[in-house]
Amino acid sequence: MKLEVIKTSENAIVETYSVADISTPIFSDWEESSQIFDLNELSRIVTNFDADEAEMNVAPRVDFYLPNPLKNRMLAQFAELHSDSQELSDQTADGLNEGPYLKLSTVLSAVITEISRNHQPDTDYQVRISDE
Amino acid sequence: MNSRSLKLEEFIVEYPLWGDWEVSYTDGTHLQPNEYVKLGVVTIDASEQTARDHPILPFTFRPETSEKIECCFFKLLKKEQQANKTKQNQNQPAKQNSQESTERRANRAKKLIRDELADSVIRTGILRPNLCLMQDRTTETDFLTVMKQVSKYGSLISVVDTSALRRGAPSFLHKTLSQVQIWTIVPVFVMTEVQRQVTELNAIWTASKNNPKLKNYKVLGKRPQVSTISRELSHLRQWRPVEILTTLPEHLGQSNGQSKIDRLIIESVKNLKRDRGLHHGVYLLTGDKDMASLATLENQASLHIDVPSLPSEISSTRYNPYSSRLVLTPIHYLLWDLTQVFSTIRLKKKHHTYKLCYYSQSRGGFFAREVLEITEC
Repeated sequence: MKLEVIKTSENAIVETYSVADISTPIFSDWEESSQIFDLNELSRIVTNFDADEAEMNVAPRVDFYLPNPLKNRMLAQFAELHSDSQELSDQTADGLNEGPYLKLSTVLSAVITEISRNHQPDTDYQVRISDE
Repeated sequence: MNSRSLKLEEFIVEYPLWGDWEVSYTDGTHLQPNEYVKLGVVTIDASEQTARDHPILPFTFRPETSEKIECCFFKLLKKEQQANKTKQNQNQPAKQNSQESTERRANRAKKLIRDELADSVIRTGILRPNLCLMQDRTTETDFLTVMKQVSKYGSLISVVDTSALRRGAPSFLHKTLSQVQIWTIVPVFVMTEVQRQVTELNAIWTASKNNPKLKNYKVLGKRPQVSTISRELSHLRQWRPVEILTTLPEHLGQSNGQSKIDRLIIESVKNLKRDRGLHHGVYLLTGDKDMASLATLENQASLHIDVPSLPSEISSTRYNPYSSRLVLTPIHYLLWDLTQVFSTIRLKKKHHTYKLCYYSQSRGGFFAREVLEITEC
Protein backbone atom coordinates (compact mmCIF):
# COMPACT_ATOMS: atom_id res chain seq x y z
CA MET A 1 0.00 0.00 0.00
CA LYS A 2 1.29 3.45 -0.93
CA LEU A 3 0.28 6.70 0.76
CA GLU A 4 1.34 9.86 -1.05
CA VAL A 5 1.13 13.07 0.97
CA ILE A 6 0.08 16.05 -1.16
CA LYS A 7 0.54 19.65 -0.07
CA THR A 8 -2.76 21.13 -1.19
CA SER A 9 -1.55 24.67 -1.86
CA GLU A 10 1.23 23.48 -4.17
CA ASN A 11 -0.57 20.42 -5.53
CA ALA A 12 2.71 18.53 -5.11
CA ILE A 13 3.62 15.23 -3.51
CA VAL A 14 5.87 16.06 -0.55
CA GLU A 15 6.39 12.57 0.86
CA THR A 16 5.52 8.98 0.07
CA TYR A 17 4.92 6.32 2.70
CA SER A 18 4.53 2.64 1.98
CA VAL A 19 3.55 -0.43 3.93
CA ALA A 20 4.82 -3.72 2.59
CA ASP A 21 2.51 -6.74 2.40
CA ILE A 22 -0.64 -4.64 2.72
CA SER A 23 -3.11 -4.05 -0.06
CA THR A 24 -6.24 -1.95 0.14
CA PRO A 25 -9.10 -4.47 0.18
CA ILE A 26 -10.91 -2.23 2.59
CA PHE A 27 -11.40 0.20 -0.28
CA SER A 28 -12.72 -2.44 -2.68
CA ASP A 29 -15.64 -0.22 -3.60
CA TRP A 30 -13.34 2.34 -5.23
CA GLU A 31 -13.93 2.95 -8.88
CA GLU A 32 -10.44 4.34 -9.39
CA SER A 33 -7.19 2.58 -8.52
CA SER A 34 -6.49 5.22 -5.89
CA GLN A 35 -8.40 7.70 -3.81
CA ILE A 36 -7.55 11.03 -2.19
CA PHE A 37 -8.55 11.96 1.36
CA ASP A 38 -8.06 15.08 3.44
CA LEU A 39 -5.45 14.20 6.05
CA ASN A 40 -7.55 15.58 8.90
CA GLU A 41 -10.42 13.27 7.91
CA LEU A 42 -8.40 10.11 7.50
CA SER A 43 -8.17 9.23 11.20
CA ARG A 44 -11.92 9.48 11.49
CA ILE A 45 -12.41 7.32 8.40
CA VAL A 46 -10.06 4.64 9.72
CA THR A 47 -11.72 4.65 13.14
CA ASN A 48 -15.10 4.20 11.52
CA PHE A 49 -14.18 1.32 9.23
CA ASP A 50 -16.87 -1.25 8.76
CA ALA A 51 -16.54 -3.61 11.73
CA ASP A 52 -16.32 -6.80 9.66
CA GLU A 53 -13.61 -5.48 7.39
CA ALA A 54 -11.71 -3.87 10.23
CA GLU A 55 -11.55 -7.30 11.87
CA MET A 56 -9.78 -8.70 8.81
CA ASN A 57 -6.35 -9.90 9.80
CA VAL A 58 -3.25 -8.98 7.90
CA ALA A 59 0.33 -10.03 8.46
CA PRO A 60 2.72 -7.21 7.63
CA ARG A 61 6.34 -7.51 8.63
CA VAL A 62 7.00 -5.81 11.94
CA ASP A 63 9.98 -4.95 14.10
CA PHE A 64 9.65 -5.82 17.74
CA TYR A 65 10.86 -2.89 19.84
CA LEU A 66 13.37 -4.85 21.89
CA PRO A 67 17.17 -4.86 21.78
CA ASN A 68 18.09 -7.42 19.13
CA PRO A 69 19.90 -9.95 21.39
CA LEU A 70 16.96 -9.96 23.77
CA LYS A 71 14.48 -10.28 20.90
CA ASN A 72 16.40 -13.26 19.49
CA ARG A 73 16.59 -14.97 22.89
CA MET A 74 12.87 -14.42 23.37
CA LEU A 75 11.98 -15.89 19.95
CA ALA A 76 14.27 -18.88 20.54
CA GLN A 77 12.66 -19.57 23.91
CA PHE A 78 9.20 -19.22 22.45
CA ALA A 79 10.00 -21.67 19.65
CA GLU A 80 11.46 -24.12 22.17
CA LEU A 81 8.41 -23.87 24.38
CA HIS A 82 6.14 -24.72 21.47
CA SER A 83 8.39 -27.27 19.75
CA ASP A 84 6.63 -30.27 21.30
CA SER A 85 3.18 -28.85 20.97
CA GLN A 86 0.91 -30.28 18.29
CA GLU A 87 -1.13 -27.15 18.57
CA LEU A 88 1.52 -25.00 16.94
CA SER A 89 -0.19 -24.01 13.72
CA ASP A 90 1.36 -22.76 10.50
CA GLN A 91 -0.09 -19.42 11.41
CA THR A 92 1.89 -19.38 14.63
CA ALA A 93 5.07 -20.31 12.80
CA ASP A 94 4.54 -17.36 10.46
CA GLY A 95 3.83 -15.20 13.44
CA LEU A 96 7.15 -16.13 14.98
CA ASN A 97 9.07 -15.14 11.89
CA GLU A 98 7.11 -12.22 10.65
CA GLY A 99 5.25 -10.84 13.60
CA PRO A 100 1.76 -11.02 14.93
CA TYR A 101 -1.49 -10.65 13.16
CA LEU A 102 -2.67 -7.09 13.21
CA LYS A 103 -6.00 -5.58 12.37
CA LEU A 104 -6.01 -3.52 9.21
CA SER A 105 -7.38 -0.55 11.13
CA THR A 106 -4.44 -0.78 13.59
CA VAL A 107 -1.94 -0.72 10.74
CA LEU A 108 -3.61 2.18 8.95
CA SER A 109 -4.02 4.08 12.18
CA ALA A 110 -0.27 3.72 12.92
CA VAL A 111 0.69 5.05 9.47
CA ILE A 112 -1.79 7.92 9.57
CA THR A 113 -0.69 8.93 13.07
CA GLU A 114 2.90 9.14 11.81
CA ILE A 115 1.87 11.13 8.71
CA SER A 116 -0.16 13.54 10.87
CA ARG A 117 2.81 14.12 13.17
CA ASN A 118 5.08 14.88 10.21
CA HIS A 119 2.75 17.12 8.25
CA GLN A 120 1.19 19.90 10.26
CA PRO A 121 -1.21 21.58 10.17
CA ASP A 122 -3.02 18.55 8.82
CA THR A 123 -5.62 20.73 7.09
CA ASP A 124 -2.91 21.70 4.57
CA TYR A 125 -2.41 18.17 3.30
CA GLN A 126 -4.20 15.39 1.46
CA VAL A 127 -3.27 11.73 1.15
CA ARG A 128 -3.61 9.62 -1.98
CA ILE A 129 -3.87 5.93 -1.09
CA SER A 130 -3.22 3.25 -3.69
CA ASP A 131 -1.76 -0.21 -4.07
CA GLU A 132 1.93 -0.16 -4.91
CA MET B 1 1.41 -16.94 46.70
CA ASN B 2 4.55 -18.06 44.97
CA SER B 3 6.93 -15.52 43.57
CA ARG B 4 9.71 -16.11 41.12
CA SER B 5 12.49 -14.09 39.58
CA LEU B 6 12.68 -13.87 35.85
CA LYS B 7 14.31 -12.07 32.93
CA LEU B 8 12.41 -9.99 30.41
CA GLU B 9 12.49 -12.66 27.68
CA GLU B 10 11.12 -15.23 30.15
CA PHE B 11 8.39 -12.81 31.19
CA ILE B 12 7.29 -12.38 27.56
CA VAL B 13 7.34 -16.08 26.72
CA GLU B 14 5.91 -17.55 29.91
CA TYR B 15 3.23 -15.02 30.82
CA PRO B 16 0.80 -14.54 27.92
CA LEU B 17 -1.51 -11.59 28.59
CA TRP B 18 -4.88 -10.81 27.01
CA GLY B 19 -7.95 -8.71 27.81
CA ASP B 20 -8.24 -5.57 29.96
CA TRP B 21 -5.81 -5.00 32.83
CA GLU B 22 -5.74 -2.24 35.39
CA VAL B 23 -2.18 -1.09 36.08
CA SER B 24 -1.38 0.50 39.43
CA TYR B 25 1.69 0.95 41.58
CA THR B 26 2.84 0.94 45.16
CA ASP B 27 6.22 1.98 46.49
CA GLY B 28 7.64 1.22 49.91
CA THR B 29 9.28 4.62 50.15
CA HIS B 30 6.04 6.62 50.15
CA LEU B 31 2.98 4.34 50.11
CA GLN B 32 1.67 1.88 52.68
CA PRO B 33 1.79 -1.79 51.54
CA ASN B 34 -1.94 -1.86 50.73
CA GLU B 35 -2.05 1.54 49.02
CA TYR B 36 -2.03 1.59 45.23
CA VAL B 37 -2.15 4.48 42.76
CA LYS B 38 -3.74 3.68 39.42
CA LEU B 39 -1.54 4.39 36.39
CA GLY B 40 -3.89 3.37 33.60
CA VAL B 41 -5.59 0.57 31.73
CA VAL B 42 -4.05 -1.77 29.18
CA THR B 43 -6.21 -3.52 26.59
CA ILE B 44 -4.89 -6.47 24.60
CA ASP B 45 -7.59 -7.20 22.05
CA ALA B 46 -6.98 -10.95 21.71
CA SER B 47 -8.29 -14.28 22.92
CA GLU B 48 -6.39 -16.50 25.34
CA GLN B 49 -5.43 -18.87 22.50
CA THR B 50 -4.11 -16.02 20.34
CA ALA B 51 -2.05 -14.76 23.29
CA ARG B 52 -0.59 -18.25 23.76
CA ASP B 53 0.18 -18.57 20.03
CA HIS B 54 1.84 -15.18 19.62
CA PRO B 55 4.59 -13.93 21.91
CA ILE B 56 3.82 -10.30 21.16
CA LEU B 57 0.43 -8.78 20.47
CA PRO B 58 -0.69 -5.21 19.84
CA PHE B 59 -2.27 -3.38 22.75
CA THR B 60 -3.56 0.03 23.74
CA PHE B 61 -2.62 1.92 26.91
CA ARG B 62 -4.91 4.53 28.40
CA PRO B 63 -2.94 6.44 31.06
CA GLU B 64 -4.87 7.62 34.10
CA THR B 65 -5.93 11.26 33.70
CA SER B 66 -4.10 14.06 35.50
CA GLU B 67 -7.22 14.88 37.51
CA LYS B 68 -7.63 11.35 38.84
CA ILE B 69 -3.99 10.96 39.82
CA GLU B 70 -4.05 14.34 41.57
CA CYS B 71 -7.28 13.46 43.38
CA CYS B 72 -5.83 10.10 44.50
CA PHE B 73 -2.70 11.78 45.88
CA PHE B 74 -4.74 14.48 47.57
CA LYS B 75 -6.73 11.82 49.44
CA LEU B 76 -3.56 9.96 50.41
CA LEU B 77 -1.96 13.16 51.71
CA LYS B 78 -5.05 13.99 53.75
CA LYS B 79 -5.05 10.46 55.16
CA GLU B 80 -1.40 10.76 56.14
CA GLN B 81 -1.98 14.14 57.76
CA GLN B 82 -4.89 12.70 59.72
CA ALA B 83 -2.82 9.74 60.87
CA ASN B 84 0.02 12.04 61.96
CA LYS B 85 -2.41 14.23 63.86
CA THR B 86 -3.87 11.24 65.68
CA LYS B 87 -0.40 10.16 66.64
CA GLN B 88 0.40 13.57 68.05
CA ASN B 89 -3.05 13.86 69.62
CA GLN B 90 -3.55 17.29 68.13
CA ASN B 91 -7.17 17.60 67.16
CA GLN B 92 -7.05 21.16 65.97
CA PRO B 93 -8.87 22.08 62.74
CA ALA B 94 -6.72 22.11 59.62
CA LYS B 95 -5.34 25.49 58.60
CA GLN B 96 -6.13 27.02 55.21
CA ASN B 97 -2.47 27.17 54.18
CA SER B 98 -2.15 23.47 55.01
CA GLN B 99 -4.98 22.75 52.56
CA GLU B 100 -3.21 24.77 49.84
CA SER B 101 0.05 23.07 50.54
CA THR B 102 -1.63 19.66 50.21
CA GLU B 103 -3.12 20.69 46.88
CA ARG B 104 0.28 21.88 45.65
CA ARG B 105 1.95 18.65 46.71
CA ALA B 106 -0.76 16.55 45.05
CA ASN B 107 -0.33 18.62 41.90
CA ARG B 108 3.44 18.14 41.89
CA ALA B 109 3.09 14.39 42.47
CA LYS B 110 0.61 14.15 39.59
CA LYS B 111 2.98 16.01 37.28
CA LEU B 112 5.89 13.77 38.18
CA ILE B 113 3.86 10.59 37.66
CA ARG B 114 2.56 11.75 34.27
CA ASP B 115 6.11 12.76 33.24
CA GLU B 116 7.40 9.34 34.24
CA LEU B 117 4.61 7.63 32.29
CA ALA B 118 5.52 9.70 29.22
CA ASP B 119 9.20 8.77 29.63
CA SER B 120 8.23 5.10 29.91
CA VAL B 121 6.27 5.05 26.66
CA ILE B 122 9.17 6.81 24.92
CA ARG B 123 11.78 4.39 26.33
CA THR B 124 9.76 1.37 25.27
CA GLY B 125 9.25 2.70 21.74
CA ILE B 126 5.48 3.03 21.98
CA LEU B 127 5.61 6.75 21.32
CA ARG B 128 8.18 8.29 19.00
CA PRO B 129 10.20 11.10 20.62
CA ASN B 130 10.34 14.54 19.02
CA LEU B 131 13.79 15.16 17.62
CA CYS B 132 15.52 18.45 17.01
CA LEU B 133 18.81 18.47 15.12
CA MET B 134 20.93 21.56 15.75
CA GLN B 135 24.03 22.05 13.62
CA ASP B 136 25.72 24.65 11.39
CA ARG B 137 23.44 27.40 12.70
CA THR B 138 20.34 25.51 11.54
CA THR B 139 17.59 23.74 13.45
CA GLU B 140 15.71 20.83 11.91
CA THR B 141 12.68 19.19 13.51
CA ASP B 142 11.17 17.21 10.64
CA PHE B 143 11.65 13.60 11.68
CA LEU B 144 12.50 12.13 8.27
CA THR B 145 14.88 14.97 7.42
CA VAL B 146 16.64 14.56 10.78
CA MET B 147 17.00 10.81 10.28
CA LYS B 148 18.36 11.28 6.75
CA GLN B 149 20.86 13.91 7.89
CA VAL B 150 22.30 12.00 10.83
CA SER B 151 22.59 8.81 8.77
CA LYS B 152 24.04 10.31 5.58
CA TYR B 153 27.58 9.04 6.26
CA GLY B 154 26.40 5.47 6.95
CA SER B 155 27.80 5.73 10.46
CA LEU B 156 27.52 8.09 13.37
CA ILE B 157 29.08 8.66 16.73
CA SER B 158 26.70 9.70 19.47
CA VAL B 159 28.02 11.15 22.69
CA VAL B 160 25.22 10.72 25.21
CA ASP B 161 24.38 12.55 28.40
CA THR B 162 22.35 11.25 31.35
CA SER B 163 19.01 12.51 30.05
CA ALA B 164 19.49 10.87 26.65
CA LEU B 165 20.27 7.52 28.25
CA ARG B 166 17.33 7.92 30.59
CA ARG B 167 15.02 8.40 27.61
CA GLY B 168 16.46 5.37 25.82
CA ALA B 169 17.66 7.58 22.96
CA PRO B 170 20.56 5.32 21.86
CA SER B 171 18.20 2.33 21.59
CA PHE B 172 15.75 4.43 19.62
CA LEU B 173 18.46 5.37 17.12
CA HIS B 174 19.62 1.75 16.81
CA LYS B 175 16.08 0.48 16.21
CA THR B 176 15.19 3.28 13.79
CA LEU B 177 18.47 3.41 11.85
CA SER B 178 19.12 -0.31 11.82
CA GLN B 179 21.37 -0.09 8.72
CA VAL B 180 23.59 2.62 10.20
CA GLN B 181 26.67 1.87 12.27
CA ILE B 182 26.31 3.75 15.54
CA TRP B 183 29.10 4.11 18.07
CA THR B 184 27.82 5.20 21.47
CA ILE B 185 30.16 7.14 23.71
CA VAL B 186 29.35 7.70 27.38
CA PRO B 187 31.46 10.37 29.10
CA VAL B 188 32.56 9.09 32.50
CA PHE B 189 30.81 12.06 34.14
CA VAL B 190 27.50 10.40 33.27
CA MET B 191 28.55 7.38 35.29
CA THR B 192 29.58 9.48 38.27
CA GLU B 193 26.15 11.13 38.16
CA VAL B 194 24.49 7.69 38.24
CA GLN B 195 26.75 6.70 41.12
CA ARG B 196 25.62 9.78 43.06
CA GLN B 197 21.97 8.87 42.46
CA VAL B 198 22.57 5.33 43.75
CA THR B 199 23.81 6.75 47.03
CA GLU B 200 20.81 9.09 47.32
CA LEU B 201 18.34 6.29 46.54
CA ASN B 202 19.88 3.99 49.10
CA ALA B 203 19.63 6.74 51.72
CA ILE B 204 15.92 7.30 50.95
CA TRP B 205 15.23 3.56 51.00
CA THR B 206 16.99 3.08 54.32
CA ALA B 207 15.30 6.08 55.94
CA SER B 208 11.82 5.00 54.82
CA LYS B 209 12.13 1.34 55.80
CA ASN B 210 8.83 0.35 57.48
CA ASN B 211 7.96 4.04 57.67
CA PRO B 212 6.85 5.29 54.25
CA LYS B 213 6.26 9.02 53.91
CA LEU B 214 4.37 10.55 50.99
CA LYS B 215 6.95 13.32 50.65
CA ASN B 216 9.29 10.61 49.34
CA TYR B 217 7.24 10.39 46.11
CA LYS B 218 10.13 12.35 44.55
CA VAL B 219 12.00 9.06 44.45
CA LEU B 220 9.96 8.34 41.29
CA GLY B 221 12.04 10.92 39.47
CA LYS B 222 15.34 9.63 40.86
CA ARG B 223 14.96 5.86 40.49
CA PRO B 224 14.88 5.75 36.66
CA GLN B 225 18.09 7.78 36.69
CA VAL B 226 19.69 4.57 37.93
CA SER B 227 17.44 1.68 36.90
CA THR B 228 16.62 2.62 33.33
CA ILE B 229 20.06 4.05 32.57
CA SER B 230 21.76 0.87 33.74
CA ARG B 231 19.27 -1.17 31.69
CA GLU B 232 19.89 0.96 28.60
CA LEU B 233 23.66 0.56 28.93
CA SER B 234 23.40 -3.14 29.67
CA HIS B 235 21.23 -3.74 26.59
CA LEU B 236 23.43 -1.64 24.34
CA ARG B 237 26.62 -3.36 25.42
CA GLN B 238 25.21 -6.73 24.42
CA TRP B 239 24.46 -5.46 20.97
CA ARG B 240 26.46 -2.52 19.70
CA PRO B 241 29.75 -0.78 20.53
CA VAL B 242 29.66 1.33 23.67
CA GLU B 243 32.66 3.22 24.99
CA ILE B 244 32.98 4.84 28.37
CA LEU B 245 35.07 7.93 27.73
CA THR B 246 37.26 8.25 30.77
CA THR B 247 39.26 11.22 31.96
CA LEU B 248 42.08 12.13 34.29
CA PRO B 249 41.27 11.40 37.96
CA GLU B 250 41.74 15.06 38.89
CA HIS B 251 38.96 16.06 36.47
CA LEU B 252 36.48 13.69 38.13
CA GLY B 253 36.52 15.85 41.25
CA GLN B 254 35.07 18.69 39.20
CA SER B 255 31.85 16.82 38.46
CA ASN B 256 29.77 18.41 41.18
CA GLY B 257 26.63 20.26 40.21
CA GLN B 258 24.53 19.86 37.06
CA SER B 259 25.94 22.80 35.12
CA LYS B 260 29.49 21.57 35.67
CA ILE B 261 28.57 18.11 34.44
CA ASP B 262 26.95 19.62 31.32
CA ARG B 263 30.11 21.63 30.67
CA LEU B 264 32.35 18.58 31.14
CA ILE B 265 30.22 16.57 28.71
CA ILE B 266 30.40 19.29 26.03
CA GLU B 267 34.17 19.45 26.55
CA SER B 268 34.27 15.66 26.17
CA VAL B 269 32.73 16.00 22.70
CA LYS B 270 35.31 18.60 21.70
CA ASN B 271 38.20 16.53 23.06
CA LEU B 272 36.95 13.42 21.29
CA LYS B 273 36.81 15.16 17.93
CA ARG B 274 40.20 16.77 18.39
CA ASP B 275 42.01 13.69 19.75
CA ARG B 276 40.67 11.33 17.09
CA GLY B 277 40.56 13.71 14.15
CA LEU B 278 36.81 13.43 13.64
CA HIS B 279 35.26 16.17 11.54
CA HIS B 280 31.72 15.04 10.90
CA GLY B 281 29.11 12.55 12.06
CA VAL B 282 29.62 13.27 15.78
CA TYR B 283 26.48 14.30 17.67
CA LEU B 284 25.78 15.19 21.25
CA LEU B 285 22.61 13.30 22.16
CA THR B 286 20.72 15.00 24.97
CA GLY B 287 17.29 15.43 26.50
CA ASP B 288 18.27 18.88 27.73
CA LYS B 289 17.35 21.57 25.22
CA ASP B 290 19.53 24.23 26.85
CA MET B 291 22.54 21.97 26.72
CA ALA B 292 21.85 21.16 23.06
CA SER B 293 21.62 24.88 22.25
CA LEU B 294 24.79 25.66 24.15
CA ALA B 295 26.72 22.92 22.37
CA THR B 296 25.52 24.22 19.01
CA LEU B 297 26.77 27.71 19.88
CA GLU B 298 30.18 26.10 20.29
CA ASN B 299 29.95 24.43 16.86
CA GLN B 300 29.12 20.97 18.22
CA ALA B 301 26.21 19.28 16.42
CA SER B 302 23.54 18.11 18.82
CA LEU B 303 20.38 16.06 18.68
CA HIS B 304 17.76 16.99 21.24
CA ILE B 305 15.36 14.22 22.30
CA ASP B 306 12.08 15.63 23.55
CA VAL B 307 9.04 13.88 25.00
CA PRO B 308 5.68 14.75 23.40
CA SER B 309 2.67 15.22 25.67
CA LEU B 310 1.02 12.02 26.81
CA PRO B 311 -2.01 11.13 24.62
CA SER B 312 -5.21 9.88 26.25
CA GLU B 313 -4.82 6.57 24.41
CA ILE B 314 -1.65 5.11 22.91
CA SER B 315 -1.36 2.22 20.50
CA SER B 316 1.62 -0.11 20.77
CA THR B 317 1.80 -0.30 16.97
CA ARG B 318 3.85 2.48 15.45
CA TYR B 319 5.06 3.17 11.93
CA ASN B 320 8.71 3.92 11.25
CA PRO B 321 8.72 6.10 8.10
CA TYR B 322 12.49 5.76 7.71
CA SER B 323 12.42 1.97 7.26
CA SER B 324 8.76 1.77 6.10
CA ARG B 325 8.24 -0.88 8.74
CA LEU B 326 5.74 -1.26 11.55
CA VAL B 327 7.14 -1.29 15.06
CA LEU B 328 5.46 -3.23 17.82
CA THR B 329 6.25 -3.07 21.52
CA PRO B 330 5.44 -6.01 23.81
CA ILE B 331 3.15 -5.15 26.72
CA HIS B 332 5.69 -6.94 28.89
CA TYR B 333 8.35 -4.38 28.01
CA LEU B 334 6.14 -1.50 29.12
CA LEU B 335 5.32 -3.30 32.39
CA TRP B 336 9.01 -4.03 32.90
CA ASP B 337 9.87 -0.38 32.47
CA LEU B 338 7.04 0.79 34.74
CA THR B 339 8.24 -1.64 37.41
CA GLN B 340 11.75 -0.21 37.20
CA VAL B 341 10.36 3.29 37.71
CA PHE B 342 7.55 2.69 40.20
CA SER B 343 9.09 -0.22 42.13
CA THR B 344 6.01 -2.47 42.39
CA ILE B 345 3.33 -2.76 39.71
CA ARG B 346 0.02 -4.51 40.22
CA LEU B 347 -1.64 -5.90 37.13
CA LYS B 348 -5.26 -6.72 37.82
CA LYS B 349 -8.26 -8.06 35.98
CA LYS B 350 -11.26 -10.12 37.01
CA HIS B 351 -10.06 -13.14 39.04
CA HIS B 352 -6.45 -12.52 38.09
CA THR B 353 -3.75 -10.41 39.71
CA TYR B 354 -0.01 -10.24 39.18
CA LYS B 355 2.40 -8.27 41.30
CA LEU B 356 5.64 -7.26 39.62
CA CYS B 357 8.42 -6.17 41.91
CA TYR B 358 11.72 -4.62 40.94
CA TYR B 359 12.97 -3.16 44.19
CA SER B 360 13.70 -6.18 46.34
CA GLN B 361 15.74 -6.05 49.49
CA SER B 362 16.27 -9.78 49.28
CA ARG B 363 18.48 -9.28 46.25
CA GLY B 364 20.55 -6.79 48.15
CA GLY B 365 20.49 -4.25 45.36
CA PHE B 366 17.98 -2.95 42.91
CA PHE B 367 19.87 -2.41 39.73
CA ALA B 368 22.72 -4.87 39.70
CA ARG B 369 20.73 -7.59 37.94
CA GLU B 370 18.17 -7.18 35.18
CA VAL B 371 15.60 -9.32 37.00
CA LEU B 372 12.00 -8.81 38.01
CA GLU B 373 10.08 -10.67 40.68
CA ILE B 374 6.56 -11.78 39.76
CA THR B 375 3.88 -12.98 42.16
CA GLU B 376 0.55 -14.40 41.04
CA CYS B 377 -2.12 -13.46 43.58
